[in-house]
Amino acid sequence: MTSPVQIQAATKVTETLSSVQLWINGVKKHSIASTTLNTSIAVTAGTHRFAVVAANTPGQKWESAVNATVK
Amino acid sequence: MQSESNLLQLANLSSEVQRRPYHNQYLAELPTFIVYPAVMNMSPSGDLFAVGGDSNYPEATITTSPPTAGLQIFHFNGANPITPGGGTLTTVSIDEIHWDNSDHLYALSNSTGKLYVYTVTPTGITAVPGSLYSFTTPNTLIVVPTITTSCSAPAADGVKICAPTVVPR
Repeated sequence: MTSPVQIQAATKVTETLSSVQLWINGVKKHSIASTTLNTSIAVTAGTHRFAVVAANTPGQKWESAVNATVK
Repeated sequence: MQSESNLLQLANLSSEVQRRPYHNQYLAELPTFIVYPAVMNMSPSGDLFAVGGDSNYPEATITTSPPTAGLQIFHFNGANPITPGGGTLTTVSIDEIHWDNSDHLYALSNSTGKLYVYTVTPTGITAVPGSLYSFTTPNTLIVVPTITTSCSAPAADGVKICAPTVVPR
């Protein structure tokens, strides 16, 4: 995998969706108010943790993460 | 397929089913077309099926009822029977049907010069804001998805990451 990295995720939440956030190595990189996330982002070489966090308006959160290596 | 009663019905055949003859109970489970099926296309996720009807389709004379134009959706439910997704979305003749990877259905009607665009999911169908689109004597349509792969929502509440993917070692 090379930079830029395409990050694509889909979410499902109860209540009203508040935001879907992309975090890379614990740093928030992107935030949208849509159930689907599709973005490309420049990342340095190495192994990184990509986490996507969805939140609804009451404040409940759901998270999924993958580790991927950029060459 | 066309049954002995001249009903046009939609069936999905697995290799297992193909070895068995049809029987009346199975035929009764198959949904019938409201429109005359002239064009059809499956969504990338494989769970939604769109059928376009053409009232001028040449082979429509094989049915006893008059051919019906329109656009109809079916739900493919895995091993469970196919279910119709409601009535017709439009009543004009449909010439082409395409899907992108974002749950959008595109249906082109050459005779009316209209392009219908819907967001279609297993739970609902809504017209995309701004559609329908008008064209002067359209002839054909191609859809190029900007999202390269389909990423459908998880079945339960949560987040599903489709990319980047981790290649097992």
